[in-house]
Amino acid sequence: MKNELKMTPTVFFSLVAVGLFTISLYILLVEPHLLRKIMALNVMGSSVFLLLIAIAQRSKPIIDPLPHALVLTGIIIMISSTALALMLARRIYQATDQKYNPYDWAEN
Amino acid sequence: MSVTTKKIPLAALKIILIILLLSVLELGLAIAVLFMPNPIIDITELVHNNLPNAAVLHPLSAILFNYRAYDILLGIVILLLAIFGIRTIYYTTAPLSETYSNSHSQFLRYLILSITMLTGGYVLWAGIFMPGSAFHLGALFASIGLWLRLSHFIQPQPMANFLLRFIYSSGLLIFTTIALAVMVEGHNLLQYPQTNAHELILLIEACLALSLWSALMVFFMASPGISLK
Repeated sequence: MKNELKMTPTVFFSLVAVGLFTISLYILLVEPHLLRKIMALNVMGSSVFLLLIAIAQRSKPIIDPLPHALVLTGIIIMISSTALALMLARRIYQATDQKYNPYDWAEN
Repeated sequence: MSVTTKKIPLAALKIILIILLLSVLELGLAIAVLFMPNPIIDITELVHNNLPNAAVLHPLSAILFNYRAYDILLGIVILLLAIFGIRTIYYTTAPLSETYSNSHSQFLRYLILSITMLTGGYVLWAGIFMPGSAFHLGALFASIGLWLRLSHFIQPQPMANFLLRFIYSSGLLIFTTIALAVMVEGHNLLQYPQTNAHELILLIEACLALSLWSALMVFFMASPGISLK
């Protein structure tokens, strides 16, 4: 058990990924603006990708290709969901006569 | 005055509560990540040992298009659903007038086009021994397409453009056709026959690049216009 707690790159990047995940979850809960929520979701997804890439490095000497394949599939899904979410967010702000830019929005 | 002084601590309390709960979550996740058990099956070895049967040279391509082709198949379904959603919003609003300028010189156009052609050729060639060429090719095509669109070479198409609809759905159409067609020969779903697995995978990759290209064009260029009342 004690061997696993050494600060290898895998452990370091996994902890960074966990930190990023929690920070973006906080933004997702607290921020009212949709654009910031979508960005938080993106950072959240990227943190999961970081975790998967870190796990892929665990198996030496050959790198495990399975997490890499999962990340590639995940990127496609993240791009499509982000594009749809952005389109819907812009339409919502347009239909409700609100500003799309969060800095303009904060002054209202 | 008393209302505002009451409201601020409540909001602060809420934030503190959220931060506390998230810290607990963070701690739990960190423990889960730190004490991750070792895998029971060595998947890396399994992937590398079965590579001669997979009809591709790189382990990553083997996973994407052979062992775990379901993932890509469902990924394309999501891509297509996103296109449906975006097109619905785009075509139910009146398009805005385009304001970007059309001031590239003729020389720059040909220079950029020839450089992207060269890069596309390289990516195609590198796809033989490197993984995931479909995605790179799709992204490269999309960059050319976006640049052509921004310099007014291509205009936005009407909704009932049959060719465009075919291009959007080509990845999913060809993929599902192949996945089901191998069942006629008595294989399982998505289990390619040994003799022409390589050609089938190449065909899937080409169609995937095509539909990724069109999807990225839609994702980046479509924007909601003025509401139709």
